[in-house]
This record gives sequence, C-alpha cells and structure tokens, in this order.
Amino acid sequence: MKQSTDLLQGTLDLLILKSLALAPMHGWGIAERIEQVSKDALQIGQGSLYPALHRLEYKGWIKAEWGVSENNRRAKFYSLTQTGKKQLQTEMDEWDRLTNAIALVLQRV
Amino acid sequence: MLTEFLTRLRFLVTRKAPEEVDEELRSHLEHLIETNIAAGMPPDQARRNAAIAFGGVEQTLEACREQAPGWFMDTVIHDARFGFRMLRKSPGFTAVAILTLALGIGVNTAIFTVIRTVLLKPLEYPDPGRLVRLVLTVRHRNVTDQAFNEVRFDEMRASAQSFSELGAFGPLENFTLSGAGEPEVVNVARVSANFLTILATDPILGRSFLPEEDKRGGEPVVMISSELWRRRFNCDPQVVGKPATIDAVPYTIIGVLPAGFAFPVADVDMWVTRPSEWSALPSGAWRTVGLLKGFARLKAQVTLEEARAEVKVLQRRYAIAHPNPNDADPRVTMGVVPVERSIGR
Repeated sequence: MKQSTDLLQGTLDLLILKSLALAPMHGWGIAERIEQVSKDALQIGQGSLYPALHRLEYKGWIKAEWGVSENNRRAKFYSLTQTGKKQLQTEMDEWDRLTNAIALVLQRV
Repeated sequence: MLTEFLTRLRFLVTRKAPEEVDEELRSHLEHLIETNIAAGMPPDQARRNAAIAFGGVEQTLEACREQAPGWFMDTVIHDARFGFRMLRKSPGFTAVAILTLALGIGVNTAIFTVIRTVLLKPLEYPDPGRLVRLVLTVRHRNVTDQAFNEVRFDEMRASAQSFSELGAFGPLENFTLSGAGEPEVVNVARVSANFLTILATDPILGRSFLPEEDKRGGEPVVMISSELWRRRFNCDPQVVGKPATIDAVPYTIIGVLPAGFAFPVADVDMWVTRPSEWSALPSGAWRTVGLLKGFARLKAQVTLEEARAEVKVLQRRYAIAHPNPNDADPRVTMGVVPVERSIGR
C-alpha cells in the first residue's frame, strides 16, 4: 500500500474546490481525480472527504444535486457556486503566498 | 459573505436528512466493490477489500453531522428533552427540587430587596431636578470641578439671585471619635450650615445646623449618620445634646440624619460646619486656599439657563475685583450642572 502524504490543514478544501472547477463531480470522482492528478501521492479517505464536502456545502461554496453516475448509479454531484469560484481564487492566492514564504525560509534567503 | 451567511441560515432551518449522507457513502462503497470485481477479484473478496479500504462509516456520518452550523444545538436540545422526560417520570423529586429552588431564589430576593432599601440605595432627595452643582473649570489646566476659596464663595452667595440656597462642602476628614466605647476613626464631612435646606432633607432626630454655627469660632456641633447612631449609640433616642469627642475637641451632637443619606459621598459618619476649616491647613490659609465645592437649589421659577447666565456674570465680576493671575484668567469659568450628572452618588 502506498503511503499517503499528510495534508496540511485546509489544503483538502482547496483541492476539492480546484477539482470541481472543471466540471461537477460526485464524491468518489473527486477522490479519484485528486489521486490520479497527484500520481497517487495524495490519497483522500472517505472519512475526510465527506465531512469536507459537507463543510463546503454548508459554507455555500459548493452545491450538491442528485444525478446518475457513469455506471448508472444514483450519485450526488457537487459543483462550485459563484461564491465558491471566488473562494477558490482566494485560496489559491493564499496557497501561493504560503508556499513562497516556506520556500524562502527553506532556501535560507 | 452575505451568501455564505444565508446558506448557513438555510441549513440551520432545513437539515440534511442523515439517510442522504448514508446513501452517498453506500454508493461510494459499491463503486469500490465494482472496481475490485472489474480488477478480477471474486465478489466476496472484492466486498471485503473494499470495506477494509473504505473504513468506518459511522465516524464519517458523525463527522458530517458536526459540519452543520449549530449542530451542537441538537445535542443541547436532546439533553434538555431527556432531562424533561426524567423529571416527568419522578414527580415527587421534581416537586421537591422546584420547591427548593423557588424558596432559595425567593428568600434571596427578599433579603436583597431589604438590604438594598436599607443599606445600599442612596436616599433620594426631594425635587432633585432643582438641585445643582457649581462647577469651576480651569480650561488651560484641563481641570473640571476645581475647588475654590471662601472669598469667591462668599461673594457668590451674597449676590446670586437664582438660588433659594447656595452652599458649599469641603474636603473629607478622618478624625478619631472617642468618648463612650473604643475610639474609632470616622469619616467627617465639612458642609455649610444650610446643607439640609438645599437637599430638602430633615434630620430624623434633633435639628440641623444654625447660621451662627457656620461662623468662625462658632459652637462645635456635629450631626451623625443613622449608621453611626445605631453602631455606636445603640439608637439612643436621647443622643441629641450628648458630647462626642472628635480629635480631642469636645463637640455636641445636635441631630441624626436619615438612613442612606449620602452627601457629599457615601459612608460619611459625621457632618460638621465651616467647610473651609480643613484641619490639614493652618487657620491663616482657610480663607484663601481653594477648598470648597458649591451646590445649590434653584428658585422655583428660575431655569438652569438663567442660573448659568447669572453665575457667568458673577464670575466675570469676581475676576475684575480680584485681578490676580489665578482668579482673573478668562479661562477660569463657573458652570451650573444638574446634580444627577455631577455628585458622586
């Protein structure tokens, strides 16, 4: 089994928002997408995925609708709201700021 | 921001059904099983592996619930409901508990009400709307309610027409009261003889001060508080006329003030006349050093504005009559303010 990288607090929200920016997706779709894109470095367990989805939905950043999945199963599809799109931009800027800051420190500039 | 708030508000009212979350998770698990089967596993093993990889569902359901805004309110409501059911189940216990609480609260309220009226609540002066303070402001030194000297007070009192009575109080003193019983330190206020006329208050025993007792060398007389009367004289109805030795000077007690009387501040034990005769200063300085603060009762037909205008004129006249740097400075002004905004009660 691959070792999953621990996610920084709040990073999961950013990853979910980014995944949904392309198209609406259901829960496991989001998890699989993050795994694929990160080349299996990031494994999102359902135990953190669904609470995060609910949190974002309660915040009004994503909305959910029941639909039918590609293998004909009833599934809940999540998509970004208008607020969510703005939030994604904010979070990405914040992330850049943070990683740049950390990079600076690690390079001991 | 607003959208976020509205969304939260909406979810507070309309909860997501738990089954919905359940179905979502189940759908995810089945997807995993199908993936395993597609990878060539026998159905049993596919199910087992998927379940292991998926992990506990209950914790996830719980964690999802806790994301909802105000989820803890549900817990509180559950607890309250449970408590209520329990109370209904044992009416005897409930009755005793409620009775105990009611009695406890009732008795405490009653005691507090009595204490407040008797001890804590300061006495209301009759017609407080006409009670004013004369406040001397020294603007360039940023001082309000600066004490002024006896010369200024006497001239003000002699000329002012706006007030039915104009009085003064001086600095508080700590004196040693001796005589019957242990000596004790008492708070003594220095007031002009007309102070009870201004405050429209009568002593509960004896009389108030006489004008001649306010003059230099007048009789040493003292009025005492109800509290001191009770504490030291055991509410003796014959206390008027008895001697009281204050800092080795023999005074005569002439009256007792009502309970809760708090002038110029609370916790005064005794009142004496001649407000400027502060014991900390030599007698030669009493007349010229600023020790007094003024208070007065407006005449019935005089408004606050009229009194202010008059006091302003008197202040200007005083400045002309006393052309020294302290008194004549135009930045020194005398104001008239209603008592509820200025006396420390």
